[in-house]
Amino acid sequence: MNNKFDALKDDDSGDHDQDNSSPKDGEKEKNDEEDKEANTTKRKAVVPGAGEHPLQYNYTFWYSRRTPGRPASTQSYEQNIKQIGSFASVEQFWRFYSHMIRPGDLTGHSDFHLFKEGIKPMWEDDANKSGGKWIIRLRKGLASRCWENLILAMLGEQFMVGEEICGAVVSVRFQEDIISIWNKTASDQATTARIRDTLRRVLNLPPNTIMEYKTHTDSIKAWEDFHGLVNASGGR
Amino acid sequence: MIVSAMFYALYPLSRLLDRVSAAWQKPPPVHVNGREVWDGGGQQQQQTEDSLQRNSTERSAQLPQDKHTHTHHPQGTLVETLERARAEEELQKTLCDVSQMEGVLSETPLAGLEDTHNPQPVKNQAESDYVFSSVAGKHSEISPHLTADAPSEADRCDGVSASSGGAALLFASRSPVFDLSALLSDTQQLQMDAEPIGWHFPVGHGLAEMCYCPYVQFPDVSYYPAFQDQDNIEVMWRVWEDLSEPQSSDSADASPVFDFSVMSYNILAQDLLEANPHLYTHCAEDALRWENRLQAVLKELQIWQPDIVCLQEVQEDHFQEQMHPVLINMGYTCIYKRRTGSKTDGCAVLYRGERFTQLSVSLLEFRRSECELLDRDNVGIVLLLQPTAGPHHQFTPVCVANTHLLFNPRRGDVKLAQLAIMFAEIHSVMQKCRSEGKSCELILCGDFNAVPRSPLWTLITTGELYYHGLPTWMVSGQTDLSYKAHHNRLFSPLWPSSLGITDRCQYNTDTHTTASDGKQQYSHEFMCQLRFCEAACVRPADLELIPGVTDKTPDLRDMFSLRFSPSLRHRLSLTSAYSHIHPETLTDLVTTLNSEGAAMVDYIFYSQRQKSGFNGGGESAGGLKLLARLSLLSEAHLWSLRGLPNESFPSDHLSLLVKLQLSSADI
Repeated sequence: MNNKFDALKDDDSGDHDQDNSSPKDGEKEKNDEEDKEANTTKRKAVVPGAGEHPLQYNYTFWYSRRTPGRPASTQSYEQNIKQIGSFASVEQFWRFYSHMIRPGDLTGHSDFHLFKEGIKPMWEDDANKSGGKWIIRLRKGLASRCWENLILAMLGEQFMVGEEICGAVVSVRFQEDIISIWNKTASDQATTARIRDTLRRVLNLPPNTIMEYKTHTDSIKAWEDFHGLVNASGGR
Repeated sequence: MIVSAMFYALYPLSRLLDRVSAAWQKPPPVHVNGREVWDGGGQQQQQTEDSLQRNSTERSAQLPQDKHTHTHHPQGTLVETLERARAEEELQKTLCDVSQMEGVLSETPLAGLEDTHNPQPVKNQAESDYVFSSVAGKHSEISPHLTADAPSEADRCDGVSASSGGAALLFASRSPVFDLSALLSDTQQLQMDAEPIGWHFPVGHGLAEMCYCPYVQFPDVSYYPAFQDQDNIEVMWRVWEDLSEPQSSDSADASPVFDFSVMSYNILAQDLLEANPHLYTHCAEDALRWENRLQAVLKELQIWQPDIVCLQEVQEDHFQEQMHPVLINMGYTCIYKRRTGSKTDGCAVLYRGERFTQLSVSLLEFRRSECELLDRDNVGIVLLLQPTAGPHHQFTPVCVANTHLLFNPRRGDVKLAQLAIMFAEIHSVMQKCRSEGKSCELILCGDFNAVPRSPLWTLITTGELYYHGLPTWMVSGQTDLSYKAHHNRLFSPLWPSSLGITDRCQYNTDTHTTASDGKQQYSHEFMCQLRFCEAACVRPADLELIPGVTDKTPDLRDMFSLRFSPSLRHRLSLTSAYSHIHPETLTDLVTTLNSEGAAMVDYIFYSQRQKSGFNGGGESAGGLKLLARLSLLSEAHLWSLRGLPNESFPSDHLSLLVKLQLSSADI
């Protein structure tokens, strides 16, 4: 296993493509990642409806897509990512989910992100900056089922790692799909091991499934190296 | 069929024998059932070498034409002092029995039938299994055929089961059939050290070809068409069916494997036998005696020495007092679970201690006081076994489940609920294993009291069953009760939620718990139940419409199927090791037979090795590979053996026996 190549491959296949996501700290409305924090100016707080089943945390769906025809490096990550909506109960989750296309049916270079409300699906978010993620590469055809299993487990608090979970991402690519789950503390090995085991269980993964843990600092570094390399070699 | 064919073949010669029989002082053997025929070399002999030789020699002289019959077996006399009168009495009985089946026999074929069908039952004498193989005199030219054939078959079978070792390899280094040439020869030799051949008795042209002598020597029978159709090969006995694919290249695939054998066997509890005499009216009394059946069951285990044995209908007192000590000596570790209530029998799982270590065991009772539906006394056992491998290899654990579901053909609802409990426990055991990062294979054995392609069978093999409105008698497919005016039907929910099992056949203990730390926890199943609730079907007001992303409408078909076509599902992928149809003759195979009918109701299901992996990799992702299975028989075959139980098959069920292969885990 060669990590350098993997890192490059990651970016090449656009694993989580945080293209040009220049850290804009000014835009972080919420320095406190907990959702008890007052919401951003544009959205009012979501609460469970009467008789609904409240979730432990509120979550937000995001969608991102690389615009075809333009080199990835010229697009801002933040330009391409869109909030779809936030929810606070199981019922509200299904309302959004039922009206969204399944990942396996998405076209092009797209991602769904599901993060706790207040955490942006970006490496640089305060909740993420010392974190990392488990990555599972899937052959085509499996993404929809795996994604559903993953987010149901996350929303239903099946990971049992306290407040460590930040969110989950499914990335639809040309030849494969990638799902990943992000947590706060990459250095907490007990937590990452527990997340891995829960993933295996809820996704029904066979034992030889390759699961890779990657810290966000490594991701940032690999991204910078890659783009540095691209620039140095004249935009190859 | 076979009896009929034999009859035609033997009729002429029996007429001859009739004429000459008076000249023979030696009465024909006295015992009426053909244990030797079925059991092949598995039988142990009681005769002395002397008596055996004398009898055989006599017989080969006596019956010069027997060479073209296939089920021939040299006979010995168990009790030499038996009176001739007694022998004749027995013969008469034989005749009656056969006549019942064929309805056409006259007295004349007595001798021939006797020779063909009624070899001598014999009892233990250590190390005296025998094979007649030496050939002498005028027939010696036959032997090359036989000796050439035998090793090749032995090789093949060896390959199948190379690693299971021991006496389970029945064909190793010896002829798979009784050597007919021996019957033709003037002298015989007894091979004292021969090991069990097993139940292998090919019938058909193979032997006929070898015996080149004309089979008809008497003009008066020349119009019989017997044995003309030599292409019609019929294998009448239980043989190993080799299902392993030929290894393309050993160099490429050198990963270590763990081969093991699994048997499932309903051995028919004596109490149940005696409680239902109407099911066994066709049986000889001896075949129903427990002592005889016990010995035959134990012998079957000794012959095959399976690594894992799942038994059903094991009577507790018999198990504790008679079977357990023997099984311990054979190296088995035993887990027993008696049925609840006043039932005296139960299920047992045996595994060889040197091949597996036990990780966990669950004993299941399907009687639940909190659930009116589950008022029956059936039980199940779920084991998690770790294959014992060398220090350099690690194999994934194997979950072994054994059950005997309710018989009552009308109560499909109960059967499904019992099966769901079984699945839920298996699922929980396997999940526990998976959460430790290990994969887990599954073998589900038992008497499911449901026939192939029945809804219950479909649920097991496909993982899904739409049951809405299904009459309960239809679930198992055992009997057709469609003539009844009123049918109980299946409607959702099949069982009350107090049972704690979802329609995914999983425990819902964790469906919705506000955990001790105040967390809102929801299981996958629970969340899915809310999927199409009213609130979830309304489009959120603030949801921006992005074409191709958020322009989906809730799938009404999904919604409909979930709401109005209730189904049972499970997530264990299971394949039946046995096909219910004979691959060549296309006849239905059965695993049980009694006076009221025959059917396949016993199965060995296993998690099959898949061709393609989960990831893009494409390498096989775990799973068990089916290497071989011991063939079953059709109902006609079994009736030709006087039904079940008989002297060689001690139960009204046949044993199922498969060889499976586990690949080394990726570690």
